[in-house]
Amino acid sequence: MRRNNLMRTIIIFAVIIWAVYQLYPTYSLWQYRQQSEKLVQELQTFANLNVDEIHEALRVGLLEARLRESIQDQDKLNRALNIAEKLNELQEKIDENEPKSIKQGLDLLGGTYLVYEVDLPELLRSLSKNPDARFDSLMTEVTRRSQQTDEDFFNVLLATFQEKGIRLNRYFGRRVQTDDQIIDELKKQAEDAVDRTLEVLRNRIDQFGVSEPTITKQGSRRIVIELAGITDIKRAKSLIGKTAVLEFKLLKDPAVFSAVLKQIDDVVKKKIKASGKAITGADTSKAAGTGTKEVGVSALFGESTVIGDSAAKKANDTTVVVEEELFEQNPFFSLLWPIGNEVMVPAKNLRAVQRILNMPEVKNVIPDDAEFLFSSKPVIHDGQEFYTLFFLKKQPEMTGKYITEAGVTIGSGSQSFTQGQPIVTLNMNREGARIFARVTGANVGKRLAIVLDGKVASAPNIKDKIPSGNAIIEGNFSMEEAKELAIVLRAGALPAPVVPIEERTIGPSLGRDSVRRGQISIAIGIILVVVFMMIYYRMSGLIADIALILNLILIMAALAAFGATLTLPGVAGLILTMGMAVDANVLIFERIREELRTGKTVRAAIDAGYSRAFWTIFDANVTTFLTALVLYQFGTGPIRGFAVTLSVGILASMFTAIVVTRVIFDTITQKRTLTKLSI
Amino acid sequence: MQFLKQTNIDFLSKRKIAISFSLFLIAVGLITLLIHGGPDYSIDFLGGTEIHVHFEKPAPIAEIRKALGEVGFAKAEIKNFGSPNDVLIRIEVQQNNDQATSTILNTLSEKFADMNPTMLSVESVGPKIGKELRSAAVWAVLVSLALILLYIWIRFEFVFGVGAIVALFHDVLITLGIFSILRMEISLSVVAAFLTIVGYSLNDTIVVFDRIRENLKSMRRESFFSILNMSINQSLSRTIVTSLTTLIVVFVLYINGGEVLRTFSFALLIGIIVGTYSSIFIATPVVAEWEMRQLQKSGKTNRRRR
Repeated sequence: MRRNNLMRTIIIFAVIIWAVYQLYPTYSLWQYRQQSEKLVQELQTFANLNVDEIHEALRVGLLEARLRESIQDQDKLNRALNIAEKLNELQEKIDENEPKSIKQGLDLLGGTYLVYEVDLPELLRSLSKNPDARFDSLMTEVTRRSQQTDEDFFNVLLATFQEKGIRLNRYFGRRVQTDDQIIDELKKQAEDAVDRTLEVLRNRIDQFGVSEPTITKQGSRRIVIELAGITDIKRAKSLIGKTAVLEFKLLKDPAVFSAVLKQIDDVVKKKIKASGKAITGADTSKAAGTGTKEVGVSALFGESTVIGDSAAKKANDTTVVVEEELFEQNPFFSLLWPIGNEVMVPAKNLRAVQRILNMPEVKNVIPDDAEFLFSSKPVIHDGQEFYTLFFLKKQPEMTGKYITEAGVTIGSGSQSFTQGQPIVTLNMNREGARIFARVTGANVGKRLAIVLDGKVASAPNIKDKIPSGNAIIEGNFSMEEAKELAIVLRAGALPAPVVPIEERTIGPSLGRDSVRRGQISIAIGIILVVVFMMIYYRMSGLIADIALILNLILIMAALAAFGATLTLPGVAGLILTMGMAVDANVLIFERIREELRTGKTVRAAIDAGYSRAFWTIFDANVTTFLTALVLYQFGTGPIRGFAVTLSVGILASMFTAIVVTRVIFDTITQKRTLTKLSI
Repeated sequence: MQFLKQTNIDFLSKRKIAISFSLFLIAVGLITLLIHGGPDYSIDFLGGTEIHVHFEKPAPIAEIRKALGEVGFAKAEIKNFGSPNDVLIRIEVQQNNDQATSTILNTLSEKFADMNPTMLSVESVGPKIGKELRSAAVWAVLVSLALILLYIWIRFEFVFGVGAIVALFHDVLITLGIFSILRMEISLSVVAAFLTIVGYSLNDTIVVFDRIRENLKSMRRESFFSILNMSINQSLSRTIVTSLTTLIVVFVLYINGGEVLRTFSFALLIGIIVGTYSSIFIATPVVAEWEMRQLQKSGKTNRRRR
């Protein structure tokens, strides 16, 4: 009846190795974070930048530039740049480990959870044709009523208007439309307001300065924003509330573009030479076959304080992707990839390119009337993410405020190449049409970039003069991309009124306190349970204890593997699981004791104990699992974290308490026939 | 080591006493609930703003109240939170929550600069969200109860499902009652604790039921009643050991988990004690009671088999 113990042992060890492998990035991340945090604190004391600003600058690769702007004193600046260099290196490592680690919820890291809702009364006011005094009093009434009931806002609106005998088309839409049609249209407008806000916020996502801001739509009229690790909530909120700026900017002549790139390349090369550090430190032979190699970022800047051998060693940790041959000759070009007619930057090189573009020596060679901007979204090419680098005139040709409407249609048959393709339509008011006619007329053949908050959403070619104020944008859009572009175009035109309706902010000190308390609670809890089990069940208790510790490791590993978030209630769930996880073993042990009392041999008692207890354990766990699922459905952020650790804990404890302890028991009883079991 | 040698306690004959005792507890809880006009909800369900501030010295509540009264928050509720240095300020739903929060924080840091007040957390919930969360919480509890009933019905018999559900209602009502008596607030995390209690108590109950199911198959000569009794006795040792280990960790959490988890772990603490009690004294007796009624109805006298 002995089942294959070798197989089971192998599986157990495989699981342990898997767990350690999963947890290693989390461990390294903690180390790097601690080092980084220390440096940021140090920097903050003399650098006129607060913690969030430093983090944000660090994430987008502008730390050196910001420091140069904010520190006048040369000694201080040098010290700051020195720290910045180390921070940049740490940041690379943090970025690498972050996606593979257990995330901490905002109640542990500090941070804020915000829910925004479309301000419907405000939206309606801005949509109405002729908001008079009566309209205002009606809207006040509607607002008051809707706050008192659970009824949908639009139903209240309709009911209120109907009571007063006023048809909606007096204020909204066209005369011929019925109330229902207008309500439908208004609902669409409300949803569009959410979509516009969402698009604008996602476009700003890197400015929050936190590793993983989540911005999601909830229902049709709400946006949930979670910013874990942020300390300056006011700044975050003003970033959310900031009106979006949409601009149309002309691209500079490609010839000028490449000339400037060449100049920058020369500057970088000179700088590397001047620093006296050859890149020979990097191991070039290693990747010779592939034509690309990875180079330490610091080598590119010639600023590194690391010398000789250690530079070569470091090359593997913080790397960018460059073409090998190019690197020696053209250090800056090697970061860029020409794809089609565009200059692309692999996502991994983005920060390095930002840093180079913001070096004072490089800024000197960029003409005053021009600027570099990146595309807002990456394109995928050969399985790699690339951002497009644009070189544009600083002065916008037109802003988004003239746009009255933007939408998506499917190209008609009149032009064969757009047939069946989604195209974006764009309508302007009369003044906009006049400006647009002048701009397009004077620049046929050039490219006009659509820039939202400093990021290029699209850069179509001007084919012809557009005098009518009705433009179309063609391209190889998917339907999704076309829709997004249309939303971007509308976002600059119509500010969407949103108001916060829920806010939960945890200060960083409370978060730290919670983490500390959590750690201590887990430690004390485990020690008490372990000691209790050892006293109560002696050697068998020790076996259960091994399973318990393994259980804890497995839960953490699973959290890391699923990219789950650990919250304070999650930690509570973990502790609770520690108490409940021994239950399976208690059931089994009690059963074995019973069987021993009936006079069975040790081996038979163990067999009977395990097989009889199994279904009990199963049934009991399934029901707890069911409640955890409901909890997950019902809860938001922190509570979900609790549900996740609870359910993962149940699964892990089934494995450790049943499989692992069994193998240990079997191994012990196999060696010799026990007449007495320590239980 | 062993707490209990093989026991043979006649739990079922004491069911009348147990059920009366529980009904009494529930009644007391419900009466206080009525007197207080429903449970004390936290801002999660009522809407409003709560600001948790830490001072470096014991916080002067009266002076804080005065200072906030001067800037228009005379109605603010101000109390110590966990330690004398910590203060919780609660205000009703405002026109502009952001502004209210920063006014309060600015006032505190100006007037009490020597105590270096730091914001630990701010939570504001709009009135509409509060309402939604309340109905979501009720739904969550109902849905999980329905799922459990369904599962037990499939795995066991319907009557066991009834026993389990009665025990669960019993646990939640008593915990709710104790919260009401102590005037502790029902927040989102307390609801989460309730759901956990439901899961835990059920765990205990199912272990007993499982034993009953097994014994019903193997002990064909015993009466239904004595099988129930025997099953409770056989699983008693396990019930006590598991409850103990779980209580140990929850107690650690209650003592050491900080103010944020205090009510959460308190609810768990109560729930585990009540849940353990109910799996022995409520769930199985209800099964016995139900079966007896069924038997009386169908006119049979002694016992019934599956």
